[in-house]
Amino acid sequence: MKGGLRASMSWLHTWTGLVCGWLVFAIFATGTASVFRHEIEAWARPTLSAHVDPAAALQRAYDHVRQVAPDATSIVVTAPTPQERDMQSYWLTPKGGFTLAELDPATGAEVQGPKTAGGELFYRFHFELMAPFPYGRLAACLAAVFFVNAVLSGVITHKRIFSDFFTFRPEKGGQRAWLDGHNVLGVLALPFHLFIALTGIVTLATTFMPFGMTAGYGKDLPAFYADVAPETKNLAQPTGRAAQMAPLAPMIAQAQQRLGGEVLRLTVNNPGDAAARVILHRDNSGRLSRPTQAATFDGATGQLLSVTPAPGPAMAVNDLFYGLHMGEFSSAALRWLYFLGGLSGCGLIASGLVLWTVSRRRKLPDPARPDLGFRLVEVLNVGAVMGMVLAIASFFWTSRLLPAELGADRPVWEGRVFLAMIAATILYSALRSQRRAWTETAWAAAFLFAGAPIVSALTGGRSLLRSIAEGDGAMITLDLVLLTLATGFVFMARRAAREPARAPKRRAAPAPAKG
Amino acid sequence: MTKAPASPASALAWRGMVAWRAILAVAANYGLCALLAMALARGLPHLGLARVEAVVAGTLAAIIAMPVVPIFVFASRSAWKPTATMAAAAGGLWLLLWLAGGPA
Amino acid sequence: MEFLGFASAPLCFAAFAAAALSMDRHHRQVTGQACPAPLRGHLRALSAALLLLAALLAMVGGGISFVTGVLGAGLAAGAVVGLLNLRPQLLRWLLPNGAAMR
Repeated sequence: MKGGLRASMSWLHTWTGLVCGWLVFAIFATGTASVFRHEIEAWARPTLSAHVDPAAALQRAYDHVRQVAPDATSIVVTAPTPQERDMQSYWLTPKGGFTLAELDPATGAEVQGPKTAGGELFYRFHFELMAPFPYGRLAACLAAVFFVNAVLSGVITHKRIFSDFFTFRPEKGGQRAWLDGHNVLGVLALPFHLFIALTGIVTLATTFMPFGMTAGYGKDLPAFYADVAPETKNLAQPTGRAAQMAPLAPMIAQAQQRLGGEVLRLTVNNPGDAAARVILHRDNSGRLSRPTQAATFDGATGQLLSVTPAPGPAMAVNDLFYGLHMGEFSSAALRWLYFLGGLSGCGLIASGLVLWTVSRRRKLPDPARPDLGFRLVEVLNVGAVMGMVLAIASFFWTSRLLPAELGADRPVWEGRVFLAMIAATILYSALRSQRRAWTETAWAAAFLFAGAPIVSALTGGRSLLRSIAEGDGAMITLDLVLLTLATGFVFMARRAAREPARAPKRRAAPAPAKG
Repeated sequence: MTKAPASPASALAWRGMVAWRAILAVAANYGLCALLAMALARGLPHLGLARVEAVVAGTLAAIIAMPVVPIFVFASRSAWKPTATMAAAAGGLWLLLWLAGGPA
Repeated sequence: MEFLGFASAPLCFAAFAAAALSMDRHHRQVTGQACPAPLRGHLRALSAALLLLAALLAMVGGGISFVTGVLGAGLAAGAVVGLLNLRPQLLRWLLPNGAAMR
């Protein structure tokens, strides 16, 4: 393109950013919230306690599933950890049935209380966008590709990246302040933005880029999945002969010793059969890799059959990328760093979107009556950014307030309200002026976040006082985070209200585009 | 910043050029990276890698390449250079894939 | 071992603060004057040395420590940006004659 590298990259950055910005913001916002999805799950399930023995919990849960689904051919139960208090479980039945359940580690049975999507709402939205498979995931991956491209073109465009490294001049106001803020947020967390987006695509690689897999394995995809998960190589067809399952505790202890870590997940194939197999995966929260190392046992005798070999280099890199993205670290401080990185990414995208309108407003032929395209961007900016914020905040209300009579549909309704908040914010933004739209939605966000801990306490959910009495650090922190977010949005509302509503000064010659 | 030219005829040419580069940067890019994944998945085992290793290596390479290609598509002065480069790369990968035994 | 990554964060903060002070624009924010030439050289050398030390510390701790170190470095840089804008006078203490400045 004419104008040299920097000019063409600036053009590319502007348009790539606009095309993907709203969607990437939605992904970043729900992703940031998902850093603490286990804590949100525990918040939404007030009966879950933090202190349980994982091995005993696994046995209880397994016994419960055998009782509830005696014909299950395959049972998977996730061990409780200090962060993840509920036990995500699922089982397969012979007729192709698939049942998901959250089990309470204290009882082994389903968690009591009205059904709620819990931390899964934000997490699923983050990579599926509540769209049917595989379209949501494909859209998320494509958005991530656009985002990485925008970061790269942004870095090329930022000509004084080292001399402007610490430059932030909010007092200058207008385009300069927004640009400085955008650059600072981008540069300071640059490694994070790049690796989180790339590793995100890797987690969905078989959906987004399956051609390597199909070229290498053709129609024999089960062989691919067996090569990827070598712990399944010792599985056998059910014999039909019933056999008592050996106690799990010794198997867990042996797995911990051989694998060199805690057990994360229990998988039982052909439970109650003579050919039962128990697979125990190692918890990798002290490492950067996804959980792949597993020990396989004969279910009836408790004998160790195999331990997965160490992965090859390409697989190890893949596991590293997966682990880096999921961020399931035991170190709370590192998870907080991920949270801050996510927030900086949200700020980066939001400031970029606002910058797009701020820099163009000056060049409009009539700033008081912008053209339809410009107005559309303004409306969607508020709709996407504040819509996501309000949708996330609304979950903390719907999880407590939706009637229990909705039964199994209750999580679906939480999702519907989530989407409705986005739609309502877009509509609201179309009806109000820019300044009022940002200000009023910020006040609404402050109200919703501040009200969430109160609503929870009043409806028999988690309450700050009870959490302090129980010494439940995670729940105390979550309530404090909600209140801090509310405070942040109060500041934002007051600042947005003060933005002058006057038309910007016309210049004699347009200012040269700065980096 | 590169601006769209004023006259209607050159404006149409500008839009056509942008649209062509967009097709290169998105659709052709995806196809090229898919070819890369396939070529590596089929080709690397001939160099001694295990099949699953080759597939994973190819997939990762394709994912990393995808965001980078549009930089080159939009950086060059004329739209024909990236077109020719991508076509040549696709041809080369296709040849490698065919030599390695074609898609399974 | 991630504490090594965390330990590298204060080193990064010192490195970034020194680097910022060596730049005229930021030196002016802190002291009101441009950075004198000999001091600029010293600050840049100190900054590079501290950054190298921080990087080594983070890498020694292994994978998680390295990730923590990289993210912590961003946080440290953010802290420097914040101080420059909100309380630049606090950074005077890092300069040789800083305590004497009013």
